[in-house]
Amino acid sequence: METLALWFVVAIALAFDFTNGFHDAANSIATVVATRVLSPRYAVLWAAFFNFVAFLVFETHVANTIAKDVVLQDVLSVGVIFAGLVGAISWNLITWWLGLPSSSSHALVGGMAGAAVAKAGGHVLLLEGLRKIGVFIVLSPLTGLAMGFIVMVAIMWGGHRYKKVERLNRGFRRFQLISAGAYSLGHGGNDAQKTMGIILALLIATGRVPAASGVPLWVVLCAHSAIALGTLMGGWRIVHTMGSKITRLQPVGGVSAESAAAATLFFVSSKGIPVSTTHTITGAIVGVGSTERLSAVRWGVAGRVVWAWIMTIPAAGLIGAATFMILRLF
Amino acid sequence: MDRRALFFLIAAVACALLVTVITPALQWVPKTLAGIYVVLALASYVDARVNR
Repeated sequence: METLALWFVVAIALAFDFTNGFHDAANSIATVVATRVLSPRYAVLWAAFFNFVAFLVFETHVANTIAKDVVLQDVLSVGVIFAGLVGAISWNLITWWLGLPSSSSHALVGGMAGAAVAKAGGHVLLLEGLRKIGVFIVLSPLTGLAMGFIVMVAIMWGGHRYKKVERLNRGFRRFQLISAGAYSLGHGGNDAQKTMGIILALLIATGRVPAASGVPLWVVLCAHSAIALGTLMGGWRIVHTMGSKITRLQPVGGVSAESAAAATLFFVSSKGIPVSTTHTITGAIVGVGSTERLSAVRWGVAGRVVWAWIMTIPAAGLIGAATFMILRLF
Repeated sequence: MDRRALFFLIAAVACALLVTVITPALQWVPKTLAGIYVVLALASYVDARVNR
């Protein structure tokens, strides 16, 4: 029975990864599609490919943080992880329906923490790990913003001899392929690892692998396949919000935002910090937009996004805790 | 004051506050970011003054 439950929850975790791709990954193709560098179909294929091959580039530090640094390993069970996933997926679907680019990653952390607290109380939370994740909720968009601003200004300075912005933009259309690929690589490297972390925690909790174990290769491949498939299915509502509602981007702005977000994601993944790829690219887009003037940024939309960020961990935690309590009745 | 400079200054303060919360091994991240935002705030202020 436990084996059946384990594989059922592994399937749910992979489904979460799929929804993450569906919900988040299309962020990387918004500008490529908006500027008609690639058709939506090829842009999605491009992003999905780089989501998948990210396992060749990044180590599994982020997966270890999710599996071992959020709650005490003793409290993790199939039921806790299932309830946490229900909390995360439910919140993802609610924010998707509302068209808000919230964080799947923070929903996952919130759901797991909520379910674990419902099982054994607040002492099971690992404050050191949660503090690191919590601080980077703020730092990842701010890093993306600063880098987006600096890269955009550097490009504009470097290209100042081009009197016509149209010519500069034409040159940057090709660079967008590289920057979008790099961002998708960073997205796959950080987000797929969260699912790996969940599955690793499950395998440890059920005694399938030792507590000090790394992530098995089959888990790595399944997680990257699931996120790449999610990307293939697309998330057009979110693309629309990111690409045009926050600020309108030209190819040069798209390259700046994606490069800044990619560099940020490469850094945090190397440090094992799970961040929201959506937060990061949003910060970078705002940074690029604010090189013109702050009024170029549509703060009303950005404000709604910030509310979704603030609400995500508590809301997913509450749903995770409620799900665990309902499970315990049976 | 220029709104963009003010925005960058607030970001610098936010980063500086996070230095006290984050684990020691990663303190250099918010410290560096705070420094960058101070420079951006100054540059933005000067730019606004020059182009006024």
